Amino acid sequence: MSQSLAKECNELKERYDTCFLKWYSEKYLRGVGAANDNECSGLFKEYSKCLQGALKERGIDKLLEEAREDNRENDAAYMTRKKCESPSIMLHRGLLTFLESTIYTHSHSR
Amino acid sequence: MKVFSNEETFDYSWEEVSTANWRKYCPWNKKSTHVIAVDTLSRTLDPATGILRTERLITCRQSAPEFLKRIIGGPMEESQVYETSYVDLQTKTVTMVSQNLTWNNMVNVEEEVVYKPLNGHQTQFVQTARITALCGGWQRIKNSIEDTLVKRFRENAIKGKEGFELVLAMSRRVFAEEREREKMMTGAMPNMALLREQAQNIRAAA
Repeated sequence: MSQSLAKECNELKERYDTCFLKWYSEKYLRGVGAANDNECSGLFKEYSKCLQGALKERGIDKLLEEAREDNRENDAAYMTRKKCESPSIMLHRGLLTFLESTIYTHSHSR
Repeated sequence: MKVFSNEETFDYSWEEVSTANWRKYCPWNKKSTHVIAVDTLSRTLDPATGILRTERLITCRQSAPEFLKRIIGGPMEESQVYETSYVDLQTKTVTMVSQNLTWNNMVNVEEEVVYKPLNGHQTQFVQTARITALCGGWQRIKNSIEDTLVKRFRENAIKGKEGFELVLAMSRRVFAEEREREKMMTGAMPNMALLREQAQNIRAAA
């Protein structure tokens, strides 16, 4: 595994990374990974606590806040599932909307 | 603004590549030595979409060309990159977007990397970086900053591909050995707790 930028967090990071990699390959990729409370969350909390202190000490926490702001667009773009609809489904959907609106106009024009 | 783009194919499945990607900068990678630390800042799994979002802080140590050091007025040896990645299991896509945290008042570097399967045993890597020098004044200086960084991206991309190939090969070997060991041990003694402990030791050693 790679090092932490803060030497004092290396051990906690190593423990979390090992847990995460196992979870990722054995559970997540097989579609059975539970959402945010899994077997690694406790280890992450410990590592994170150590890291946050180190980031603050180095003044990196402020830079990160700005970067997170900048990244909002990417979150919006990548956190939503891209719809992979086939053209025929899209055509059907279009046709349905058209029919619905026709029915609507007809029923209301009377 | 200058754009650097690069495409590679890895002869490994998307599952293997996306797993090894988490330890791309481990000691098995003897090439990308400019990355000295990788820290995970946050990680969440969206229950609605199954998308795994991770924020990481990547610390690099790479000395800059003399003229750049003079402009910036520092040794600029350590720099940090903020990376957000999105793993979408449904579409089998890993998307990683990064931006520079250091010297971002001088230059803006935005990188996007996408890993997608080509088939069951090959994965495509597509990298695009947009580099914009921000310092006011001479276009010539801006151009040379951008050119220098594009050149750096090109050099690092070659090293990155070679290094990641090493990580992928080691990863495949270790996973195979582990599976073999687990198979043997389940046959010999059904003590699962001990088994798990052993597997963890192997991982820690790796």
